[in-house]
Order: sequence, then C-alpha cells, then structure tokens
Amino acid sequence: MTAALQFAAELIKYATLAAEVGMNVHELLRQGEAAVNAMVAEGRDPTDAEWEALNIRIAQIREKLHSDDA
Amino acid sequence: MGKDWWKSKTIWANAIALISTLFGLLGYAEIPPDQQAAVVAGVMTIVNIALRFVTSEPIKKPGGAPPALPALILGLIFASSVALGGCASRVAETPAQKIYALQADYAAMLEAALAYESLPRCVEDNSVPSPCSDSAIVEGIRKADIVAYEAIGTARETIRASPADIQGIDLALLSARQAIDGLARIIATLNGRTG
Repeated sequence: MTAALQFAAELIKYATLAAEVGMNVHELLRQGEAAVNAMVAEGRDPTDAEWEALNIRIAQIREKLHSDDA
Repeated sequence: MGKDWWKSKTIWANAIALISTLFGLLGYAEIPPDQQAAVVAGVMTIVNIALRFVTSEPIKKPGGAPPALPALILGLIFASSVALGGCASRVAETPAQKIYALQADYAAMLEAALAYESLPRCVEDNSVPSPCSDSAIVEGIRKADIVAYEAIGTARETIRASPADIQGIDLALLSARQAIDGLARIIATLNGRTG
C-alpha cells in the first residue's frame, strides 16, 4: 500500500511536470502558427525583427541543451 | 503471490487516462481533433514500449523503481511534440515563410527536449522513483539537435543563395523537416531506463 501511495504521488508530480512542458510547447506551436498565418494574410515574408527574435530564442535554448550545467 | 503492482497494464492504462484528463483540463482540449489523434497515438506508442520493457526485463532489485516512470514522462513530452507535424509549417506558403515556420516548430521541439535534459540524471540504484533523464538519451537528443540545426541552416542558405531553385529548396526543406522529426523520434524511442 505504501508503495502504491508513493507511486501515486510520483505520478502526480510527473503529470504536473509533463503538463507544464506540454502547455509550453503547445503555446509555442500556436505562436509560431499565428505568426506565419499573419505573414500569409499580409502577403509578406518574416521581418528581420521576427527572424532575430526566433534565432535568439533558439540560440538560448540550444546553449542550455548542450550545457552540462544542471 | 500476485505480480508486482507496477507490472499491471490496468494500472498504467488508468494512469494514462488520468493524465490525459489532466491534459484536457489544462488546455489541451484546444488541440484540433486531427492532432488529438496523433497525440493519443504518441502516448499509446510510448506506453506500449514501456509496458514491453516492463514485461520483458528481469527485475534485479526488489523494491527498485518502476522502470516505466521515466518512459512515461518521455511519452508525455513527446506527445506534446507530435503536433509538430502540422502547425506553423502547415500554413506557410513562400520559401521564407516555410523556413521560418520550420524554425518555429523546431524551437518548440527544443523546449520539450530541454525540459527533459534539465531533469537530474538517472542513477541505477535509485530506490525511489523520481523524475530523471537518461544520459544516453540526452546525448542522443543533443546529436539529433545538431543534425536538425545544420539541416535548417542548409535549407535557409539554399533559399538565400538560390531563390529560383524551387526543387532544391523543397528538398532542403524536406531534409530539415526529417531532421526535426528525427529529434522527436529520439525522445520517443530511447527510453525505458530505471529512474
């Protein structure tokens, strides 16, 4: 019984973490889609500012991803 | 003597159902129906892989951590990334829009990868299940990311250098798309380690 309760607690912790990640990723996907939808609607390509913002975000994530700093 | 509780497919199936419900309550109801099917398929694929691991691997330590727990969180992270197949990339029209959309999807994918990488590394003799990341998986993610990043760079350069080469651009974009999908597959398949 103790093990089952411990498992349940861990599962809730996992679920919360996974849900947070999932929501963040989902929100980013929506933002990207909205940005491209706007470009299509306006008949234009990405601006320099849009490129810069996206490239900076990718660079920041990659720096953390490839770092061993916990 | 009955089997270990964590070997029960019924428990896992209900746990997934619970988590799926939580996802819905936390906003996933807004995912379009066609993408919901992909998310469910992604979750169930990982669960099946995890269950396969549980039922085929001998248990070396009584009281050890349920092996499928890290796989579960991987599956959920992957499930959130499955939707990559059709988001910004789906609506783009011009080559510049397409490569921007591809990078936007890639950035979202990186967020999922970083979330996993940020977990403490798993240790073999951990007696209590806890969120952790497998070193081998992290390495796989990093290598796949490098491939994806370079493929995106190649596609971007192709668009800049040869804007009239539609066939070449399409090929470069396809390669980049496949590289990003490869990153997703790494997250989905390299799991099943003890947490």
